[in-house]
Amino acid sequence: MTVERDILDEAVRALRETTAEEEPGHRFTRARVMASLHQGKVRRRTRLAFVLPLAASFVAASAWGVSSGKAQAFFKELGEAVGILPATPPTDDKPAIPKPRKGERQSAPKPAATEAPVGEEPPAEEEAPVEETPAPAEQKPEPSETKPAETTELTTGPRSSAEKPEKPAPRVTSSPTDPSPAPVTSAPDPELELYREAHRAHFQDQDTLRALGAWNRYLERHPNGRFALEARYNRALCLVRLGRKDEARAALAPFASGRYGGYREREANELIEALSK
Amino acid sequence: MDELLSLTRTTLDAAEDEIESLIARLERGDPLAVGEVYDLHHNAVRAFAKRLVGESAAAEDLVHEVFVTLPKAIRGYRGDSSLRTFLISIAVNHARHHVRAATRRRRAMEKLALEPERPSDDPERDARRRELARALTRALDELPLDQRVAFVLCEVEERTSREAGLIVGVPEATIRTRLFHAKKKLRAMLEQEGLR
Repeated sequence: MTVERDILDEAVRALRETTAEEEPGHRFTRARVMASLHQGKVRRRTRLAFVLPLAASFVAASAWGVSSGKAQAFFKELGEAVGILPATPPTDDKPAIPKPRKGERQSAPKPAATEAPVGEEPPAEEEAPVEETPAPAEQKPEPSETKPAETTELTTGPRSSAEKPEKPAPRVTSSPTDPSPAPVTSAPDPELELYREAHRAHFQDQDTLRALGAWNRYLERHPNGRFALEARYNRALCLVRLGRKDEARAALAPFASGRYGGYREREANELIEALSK
Repeated sequence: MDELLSLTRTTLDAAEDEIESLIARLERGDPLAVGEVYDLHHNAVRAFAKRLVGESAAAEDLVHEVFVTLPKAIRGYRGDSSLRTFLISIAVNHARHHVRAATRRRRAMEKLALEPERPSDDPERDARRRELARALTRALDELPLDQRVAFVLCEVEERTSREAGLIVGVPEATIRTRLFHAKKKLRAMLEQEGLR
């Protein structure tokens, strides 16, 4: 055992001595270390030079998408296409109709359009006079201020001005250019009929007094209806046009204060300011 | 006497400040700071690397890796050990690959009998020393890396088990256990080789 320990100790000593000798290659290793550090620095700078512009572009594009509201629509469509998000369900008071695809919507026949008198359906161009008004009738399909879920939706900001509110069953939010208020349904809808009547008087016939009465009727019967928010705003516009300033101010005040998640907030403020002059 | 104490304290404070400044520069990735640390500690790191991997070329690679990774690794330095000890612990952390590569190369070299010999003033003594060192390195190749590291740190580098534990990051008792098993196996292997 003593012999074994001795040989181990001797071997350890031998290893210690042989490895303690000065290595001639240490200067070369130092140069390698410095070169590696320099290369690493250059690599990091190069990576940064590529990554920073890319990141800046991405951030700018995202900011633009969010501010213009296109990002939300894009992610929603993407989610639906990939299957992460469920397809938008039809509203409760409508029969379940499969959501038409974007391409199909233009050519697909609209059952409601055939049921409703042809003259009642506003043409595609009827939005033009709306745009001329100080606050065009941009409408959201789910306007109720009493439903928290809908309020949340409103906080995302108003949608495109070309978007129509009258679309009833399938919420085809991804097709803002569709000018027709006709629902994709065959069932009669008193709420929609009331809304159509007011809409026609307001935008098509431009009969402000009749429009005001129609909006009032709609809001009386459907204070929390699907189009109540748009109806309230259009009613306020009627009051402005009729010169009933105090009533108009009172009607615009909730919009101006941002109670509806920023919907028409800017326009309402501008109108109130104009009324006070 | 008081003056001497005061002078010593001042000198120690200055040295501490210097080390702190050096570490701060290392953290910023200053290559010149790495160069300074290399000049101060490369011998110790190289000796340990050679003892651990058993080969000059692989040891140089390990030394290179230790100093290249130093600016990143220094973020984990808490100042509870000397910078040299910290460098050894970096070497331990990067040793696995180098030890494996060196062991493979050594086996191939031995098969082909290509071990380089250096000229010496006392050829007989040197031959015996080299033979023993080679035999121990071969035996170390057969050990698990943990036991190998413990043996090199405690027996070859003559560090305490506490210091070795700090370097490896394991309790002192673990180091002692590893050392015990390592020595037992090494003795058996040296005996098998017929060395007396």
